Amino acid sequence: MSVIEVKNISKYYGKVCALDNISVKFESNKIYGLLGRNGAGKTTLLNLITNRLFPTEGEITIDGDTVIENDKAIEKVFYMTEKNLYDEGHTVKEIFKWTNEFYQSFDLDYAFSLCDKFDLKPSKKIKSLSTGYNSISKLITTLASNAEILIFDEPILGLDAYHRDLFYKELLANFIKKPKTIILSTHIIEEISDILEKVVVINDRKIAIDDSVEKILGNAYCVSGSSENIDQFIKGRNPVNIEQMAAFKSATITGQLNDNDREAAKKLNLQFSKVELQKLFIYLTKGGRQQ
Amino acid sequence: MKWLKFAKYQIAEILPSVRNFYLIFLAIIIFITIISRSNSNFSGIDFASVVFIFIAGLNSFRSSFNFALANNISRKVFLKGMIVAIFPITITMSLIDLIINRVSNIFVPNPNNFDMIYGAYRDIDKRNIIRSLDWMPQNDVTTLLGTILWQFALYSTVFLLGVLITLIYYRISKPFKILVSVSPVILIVLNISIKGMLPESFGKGLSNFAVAAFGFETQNPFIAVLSFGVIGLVFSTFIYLLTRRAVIKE
Amino acid sequence: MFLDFNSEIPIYLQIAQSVEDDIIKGIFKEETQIPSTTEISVSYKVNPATVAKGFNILVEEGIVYKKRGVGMFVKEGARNKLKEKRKENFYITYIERLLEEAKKLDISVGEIIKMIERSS
Repeated sequence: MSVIEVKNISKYYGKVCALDNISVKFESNKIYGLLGRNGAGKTTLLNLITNRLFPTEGEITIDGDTVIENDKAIEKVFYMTEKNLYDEGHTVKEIFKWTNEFYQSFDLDYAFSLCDKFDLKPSKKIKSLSTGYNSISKLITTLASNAEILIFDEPILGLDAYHRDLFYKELLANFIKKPKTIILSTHIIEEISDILEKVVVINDRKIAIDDSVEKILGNAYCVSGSSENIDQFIKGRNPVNIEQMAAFKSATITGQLNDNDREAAKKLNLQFSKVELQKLFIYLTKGGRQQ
Repeated sequence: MKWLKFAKYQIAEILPSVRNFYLIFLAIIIFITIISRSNSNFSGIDFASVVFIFIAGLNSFRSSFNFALANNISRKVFLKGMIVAIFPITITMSLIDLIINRVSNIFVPNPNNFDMIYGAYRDIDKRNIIRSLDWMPQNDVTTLLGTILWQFALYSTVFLLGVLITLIYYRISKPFKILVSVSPVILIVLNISIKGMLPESFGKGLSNFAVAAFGFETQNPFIAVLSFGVIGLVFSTFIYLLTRRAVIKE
Repeated sequence: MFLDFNSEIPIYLQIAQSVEDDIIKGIFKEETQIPSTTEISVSYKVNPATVAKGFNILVEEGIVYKKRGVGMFVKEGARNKLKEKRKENFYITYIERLLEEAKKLDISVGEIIKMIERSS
């Protein structure tokens, strides 16, 4: 059990609204993607879940217990923040040592073996680490915490392709070995879309999407062909994006693809292709304002 | 017992700077002892500890708070741990300071602040006798115990004051920060004008109260310890109120 | 095993299909173990629930079976079963498409037959 329930949460900074009456449930033992554009309110939501900020209205619970000043609830979570919260004079090893004090299930051996894999020297001081290695040191601490709920805010900041690949693999191996609730908050979606089971999209201070990746992708399709045929096809359908190159057009359409659609498309000589989560996300959040 | 673990962390955080402080402090004491052997004496050098502790208090809130949040420790556990961690440090420093003082007195007479306020040293001052020749440190149990307790109470209160000041700065908005920063100046100006307005007895009463509360007149350090305790409690209450809803800052 | 992340075919279907392919090719022999959920999930960076969904299809079709605490094994007779199934689909998946493409290019059926004879 490790269920996070966000109920009617609003957060105002002074008069500025960051989250507007949102409700969402993070079920246990699933990998979630928390997606949203910069300034959409992702980090605010995560800070509220972990008692680092206080909501203006609403309630958040973990397994039924309120998170506000409640160690019983928040100690189930390890939250990797984009911001560095550790004293920069500490070494990576010291961070492990102290996290081990505060997280019962922290696994020191695992942490050191991950350091080996990522090529991070545990004797290094935090301030001497590059952006990428700073992220890596935080990733390792989070994975090794073995908390019931792991939250990653922009986990791959500054990581090169090799380290990103390694992180995804280690994350999955960790998850399979001991299932837990994982939330990956990021705006880089392409690489993680197959890792995720469910997706929560925040757009314009509200929850725009809260569904499984499969359903989201199953509820949209991309069709392409000649300009006039596409125009004919999209009549009465719900296109979210249309791209045109000379006489060629492709349209992304939301809605379930049925046999009638396939038939109609075939007659018009149109081709279907996969919609990527990343692209769908871009289309659906286009209207979202940036703060 | 999460708060106990946090106290352990807090102590481990402060210990290196305590060690460095004493290394420098000892070097200075030895240096002064050597140069002042022949001619004059010195006094109240333990005031350096008070300054050090104040700075340590000023510096300890932010990074500890961030660390507590990084480990999803609630504010109340953080606060309990942080305040509890102060006492082992201040009692140890009080002991070390007394030992350093009494050892260095073998070579050069140098009263500490306690001796000057609550000991026989003050009477020497009154009698206008050349201090260095006449004064010897008292090493009876009451004096030693009094020194340790009084220093401990003073150091702990000063540490809390340091924490409180940082917290006030942490919590208030920018315009208020400026206001608080210039407030000492405003207070001095106001003080002068208020002094003129208020009856003389008010100021006198205030200073009489302070003299009594800290046992200056009666030379009773235990009254002072009690007063420091009350002040420390007041500071802690404010620290609690300010931490209760403190949030992470960019 | 091969997964195409750009294909419009969902990943769980691709997982099922590519295990089937490897059984037909004889890579995964009958009564031997197929890759575990963990192996596929980690090496292809795919959510284990997706992999499990793909495996479920294979279990339901009677292609593989689960040995408790060990993993998934290819059932006896799975290869033949798959071949039969694929043969049934052969017309739809290959012949129909072939004719469709040929029509676009104005290739006659006679010409197609000649091409096939040439290459075999």
